[in-house]
Amino acid sequence: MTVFKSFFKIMRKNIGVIILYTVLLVLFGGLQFTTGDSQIGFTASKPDISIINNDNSKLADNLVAYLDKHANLIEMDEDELDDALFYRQVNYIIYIYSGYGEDVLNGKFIEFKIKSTGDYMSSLADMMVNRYLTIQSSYDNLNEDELIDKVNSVLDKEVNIEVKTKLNTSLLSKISSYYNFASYTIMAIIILVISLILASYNSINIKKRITVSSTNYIKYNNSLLKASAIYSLIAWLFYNILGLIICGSELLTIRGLLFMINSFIYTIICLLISFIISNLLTNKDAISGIVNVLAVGSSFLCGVFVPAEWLSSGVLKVAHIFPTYYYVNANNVISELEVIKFNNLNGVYQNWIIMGIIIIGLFIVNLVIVRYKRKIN
Amino acid sequence: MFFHKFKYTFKYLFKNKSLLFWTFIFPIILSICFYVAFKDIESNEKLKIIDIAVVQNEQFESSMMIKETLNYLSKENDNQIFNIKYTDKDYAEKLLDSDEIIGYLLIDTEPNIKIKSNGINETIFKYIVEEAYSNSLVINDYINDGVLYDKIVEKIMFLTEEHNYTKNETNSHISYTMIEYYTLIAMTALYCGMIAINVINKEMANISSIGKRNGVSPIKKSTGILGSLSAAYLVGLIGLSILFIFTIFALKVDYGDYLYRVILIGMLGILAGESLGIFIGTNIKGSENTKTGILLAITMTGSFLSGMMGITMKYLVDSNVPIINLINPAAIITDGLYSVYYYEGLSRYYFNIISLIIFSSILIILSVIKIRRVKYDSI
Repeated sequence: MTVFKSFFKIMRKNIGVIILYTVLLVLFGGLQFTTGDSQIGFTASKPDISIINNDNSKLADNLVAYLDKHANLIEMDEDELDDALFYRQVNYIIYIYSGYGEDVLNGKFIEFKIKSTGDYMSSLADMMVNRYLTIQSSYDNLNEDELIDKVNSVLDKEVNIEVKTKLNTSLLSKISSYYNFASYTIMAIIILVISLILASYNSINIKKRITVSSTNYIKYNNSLLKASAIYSLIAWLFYNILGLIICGSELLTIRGLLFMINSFIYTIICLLISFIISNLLTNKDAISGIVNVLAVGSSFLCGVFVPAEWLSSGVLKVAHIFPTYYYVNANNVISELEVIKFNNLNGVYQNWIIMGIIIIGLFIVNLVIVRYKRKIN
Repeated sequence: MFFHKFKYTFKYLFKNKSLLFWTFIFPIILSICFYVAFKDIESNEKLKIIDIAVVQNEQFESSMMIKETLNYLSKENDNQIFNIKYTDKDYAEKLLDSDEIIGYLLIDTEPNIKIKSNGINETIFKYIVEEAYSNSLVINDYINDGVLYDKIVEKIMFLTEEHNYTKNETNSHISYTMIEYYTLIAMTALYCGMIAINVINKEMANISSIGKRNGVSPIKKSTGILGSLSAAYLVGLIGLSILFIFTIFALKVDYGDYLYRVILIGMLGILAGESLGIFIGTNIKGSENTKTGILLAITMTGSFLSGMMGITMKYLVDSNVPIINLINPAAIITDGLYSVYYYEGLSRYYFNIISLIIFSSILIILSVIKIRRVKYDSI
């Protein structure tokens, strides 16, 4: 019991680290959810566009109205636009020059100065502008109002879209991001704190004292194991309750349960890694350094901070050695499942089986290390 | 005496392995992580080939415009957009269910597209079909108006040609992954505060025995502390230089066109980090670990708010609560580097330089007030 209690006393000294990583998770998760929910049904991806309109003609206004309908128009001062473009708050800026309307009616060639981020969204915006101007330029000998009518009547005819999914995909991807980021926090808190605490017990003086004392070695070891396990369990519960608060009631479904089970398996893996590290290293600085590198490195490579779709295939191949990769993969699959039935969950089961194999592997490695150390001593 | 302290402080700092790890090696490891993660992120943003299906019925065959457009865009060349399977409705549904396609086109009285979820590929698909459809409507208009055949052909050619009405005048320095490296520079500069904490602890008599010895020695206090802190600054400078050299030559990070401006920001950044360390070291009671912990907490939170774990964060803070990033040293350093990279003008740069100077001065003055004329009872 003494050992058990002392574990938590030392843990309290490390509470700063725990608070730091929790705050990061809350900020990150909260940030995701401030960007608003989208409704179910087709919503065309709308690029964020800013228009600087220096022309007073109806033709210019019609162009603005068309872009307003098919994109998100962002109102901004001209000097703030460069920043907004850099930070991707705006994908595309178009400058409608003074005299545009006249040039159209006189059949002159139109050229707008634009600035773009060179990505998907800005390409879409560019396509929209070019299409509008192509249709407009294909008509000749019409006056302003006639031209506007013709162009609008053509562009108003839209194609019918039927969306098959009933999922609120944007909400689910936000939940998945929260859980993915939680892997960084869980890994840091569990491995760092438990390794540091166990390192205190493994320091040479304390180890000598315990060896000469009359405590049963097995009971002592068990207490430490139990304390670590309970600490991990509390951490896991805490982050899931935090998830409930941040992500909302969507987590109270079977899908939410899958997310929670996934994070539980991951927590077990982190617990085992922390045992291995505490058995290998006693220097607290070294532990701190290695765990930080491991947590940040694996998070980057496995698609926690940067979504996995954007990583190169070479990186993803390397990422296969980290357990975080399978955790993130499972999260992404869970967030994309249409219908959740037992026989539908192959994608999830695959990842869980691999994580299970990792657990068994880590367990064996730990036993081997402990036996090896005992032989040396 | 100054050089004596300088030399020996420098020597023992270089023997402190854990300190060197955090200030020299950890940033390099992080920069490699960034490099690996971001390497392809911007090339992956360009369009990939989209898998779709088309239900091959009578109405589709007679919709020349749509048919030819899709055919053209699925040709295997550099501009290929689609990969099309021509099939019947049931098979198309199956393909959609199994995610082999993102959507399929079925034309009856009008074009209909069925997709599975929202996304950019689905929007592009809709868009292209819509464009072909509206082109066909324009041509039908002309035909109904009794326009001559030659003219109609001319119009068809015009509508289906690629037109470029836009001239791209974007600043070439638009890569937003560069700014992640800048946040890393800022974090490293602030990590130099750990060196300062280490040094200051050895000057304070109530913390360490070396501090006691320093306290009873006859040297002028200011000389002694300045000597040690100069050595601390030099170590920080070496660490940041290594990071700069590594990122410029090995990772090919672009800091813009004015390297000397970048160097100045870096040097002031280290000053800010060290003054933060001095302030924490003199004003917070506790062991070296506690002080380092507090420094880390401030640094990591500051780095987070300046965009290290997601560039959007910096923009959100700047537009909603700008006051935070005006006093956040990580954000000031990051912003300074960003202003060299992206802007031609100097006003924003000077603003950041002056902010850093003010930040460091305030903290140093507050620390000096705490350290000077300290008296201990001889009990």
